[in-house]
Amino acid sequence: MHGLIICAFESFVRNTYGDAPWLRLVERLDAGIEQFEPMFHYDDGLAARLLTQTALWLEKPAEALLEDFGIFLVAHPASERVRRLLRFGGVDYEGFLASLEDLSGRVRLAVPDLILPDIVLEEHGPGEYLLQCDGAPPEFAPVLTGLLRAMADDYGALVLIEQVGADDNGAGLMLRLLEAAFTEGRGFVLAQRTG
Amino acid sequence: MQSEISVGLGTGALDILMPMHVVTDRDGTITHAGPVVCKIHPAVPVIGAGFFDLFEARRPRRVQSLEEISDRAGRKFHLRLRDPARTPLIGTAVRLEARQGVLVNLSFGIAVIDAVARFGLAGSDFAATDLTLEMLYLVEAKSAAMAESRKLNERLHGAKTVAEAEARSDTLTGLSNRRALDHVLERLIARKTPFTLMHLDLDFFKQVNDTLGHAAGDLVLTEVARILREETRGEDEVVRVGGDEFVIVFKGMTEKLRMLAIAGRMIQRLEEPVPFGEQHARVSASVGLVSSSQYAVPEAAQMMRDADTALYASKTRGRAQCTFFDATLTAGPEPRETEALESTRAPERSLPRSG
Repeated sequence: MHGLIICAFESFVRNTYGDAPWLRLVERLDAGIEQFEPMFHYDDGLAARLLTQTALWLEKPAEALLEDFGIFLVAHPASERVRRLLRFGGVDYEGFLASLEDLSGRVRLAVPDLILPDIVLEEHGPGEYLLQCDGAPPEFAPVLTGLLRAMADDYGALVLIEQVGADDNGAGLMLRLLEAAFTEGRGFVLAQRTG
Repeated sequence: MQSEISVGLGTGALDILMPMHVVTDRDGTITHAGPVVCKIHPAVPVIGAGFFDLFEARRPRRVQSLEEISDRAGRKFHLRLRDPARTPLIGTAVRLEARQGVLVNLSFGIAVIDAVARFGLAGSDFAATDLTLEMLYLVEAKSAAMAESRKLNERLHGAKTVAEAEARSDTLTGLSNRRALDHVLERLIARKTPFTLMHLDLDFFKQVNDTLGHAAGDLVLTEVARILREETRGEDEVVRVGGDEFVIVFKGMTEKLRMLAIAGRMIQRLEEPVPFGEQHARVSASVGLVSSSQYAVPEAAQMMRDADTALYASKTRGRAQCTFFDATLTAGPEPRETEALESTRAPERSLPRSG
C-alpha cells in the first residue's frame, strides 16, 4: 500500500474525528510506526488492519467509512489538491467521467510507484455509465463511489450511483447522470493559488 | 505546389479548433479573432485593430508584415502581446485563399502557466485536443509530489540531527563522546568503583593540520583512537572530548606508578610517525592523571578539572610528559576547549591566582 493513500486516510480520520483517535489507532496497531510517510510503501495487511480497527472504533461499517473517505478526498479543504487534480480531467462532469479511464496513467505520471486500478467506462445509454474496475481490491469501489458523488457536487451535476457485481475480481459502478448542470458547482480556476 | 482540396470553414468552426487565432485582411487589419484572443485583450477592440498594434514581433525580428510571416508558412515565430506584462506568444501563419489575408494561430508556449493565472483562463478556453490542461495537471501533480518529498527530506534531516546529537560516539574515531563520558563517570561514582581519569592532549596536531591538511589530521586522529584502544582494556572507556583531546577512564585502577607506566607507553606509541602519502605525520601527547582514591568524595567535575590541571603541568614541563595530580599543582591560565565543563570551570578561572 502506497504511503500517499495511508496518509490521505490519516488526514481523513484526523480531520473528521480528531487527532487523538488517530494516534490511539496507530498505537493500537502496534506496528512500530509512529508516523506514516507519504513516499514510503507499507504492508497491505497493515493497511487492512488499520481500516478494520478504524471501522471498529467508529462503530461504522468499513464500506460506509470508505465512502466517506472518498467524499473527503474531494470535498474537504485539506485535500483540495486531489480535487484540483481530478478537475483537470474535464471541463464538465461527463468529461471528468471520461478522464477516469486515464486516471491510473495520470497518477503514474506524477508518482510512478503509485499504482491505481484501471477503470473502464462503458456508456450504456444517454447519461448512463458502467464503470468497471477489474482486479481492483474490494475497498476501491466504495471509495470511488464517494469520490464520484462528491465530484458530481463539485461540478454541480445530479447523479445516482450504485455498486453492481462486486466480487473478488473487481467491482462495477452503475452511474446515472440525471442532470449535468443541476447546481452551479464549486467552480474551478486553472491557475493554482500561490502561497 | 500540389493541388489542394479546399475546405470551407466558418469562423465558428475556427473558434472551436483554434480558440486563439486571428484573421486579418490584406493590410493586416484584424477582421476576426478567436474567443481567447478577445479574452486576453479586454480593453482594446480587437476587430479593426492592426495586427502589429496588438502584437510585437520578436523572432524573426525584422518581420514587420504579415505577408513576410505567412511566407514562412508552417514555421514558428515569436511574438509579444502589447500588454503591461508583454506576454510572450508563439504563432504560425497561413495565407487565406486568393490572398484575401492571413490566418495566425497563437499559443502561449511555455509561458502558459503564467498566462493562465494572468488572464484567468479556464479549461474551456483551450481546444479539446490541446494538451495544455494535461501539462497544467502534470505541473501541479509534480509540485505536489515534490512538496511531499521535500517534507520527507526535512523530517529525515531533522531525525538525523537529533540522532547525531543523542549519539554517544564520535563519528570520526568511533570512540565514545562527551555525553557517554558524563554517563560513565556518574555511574562509577555512584557505585563507588575506584578509577583513574587520564586527560590526554595531542602535541603538534595543529602543525599536522596546517602543513599536511585536514585529511592527514583525520588520519592521525583515527590512528590515535586505534592506539588508545589497543593500550586499554575492554572495560576502560576511551573518549574523544574535543578536537585533539581525549579522556580515558581506567576502571578499578588507581595505582600511580602503573598508571604513569601506561601513560608513558601510550605517548611512546603515539609518537610513531603516521604515513600519509609520501610524508609522515608526527604528533606526541601530554597527559594529566587523577585517581578517584585521591578524594574523600569524588566528584566528576572536580576530577576533570584536576586532570586538566595535571595536563597543564605536563605541557609546561615540555611536550610528551605525564603528570599525576596533586594539590601543589596550579591550573592552566586559559580555559581549555572542553565544552561541557566550561560552565563549572569558568568561575574558578576568573579568580586571581598566585603562581
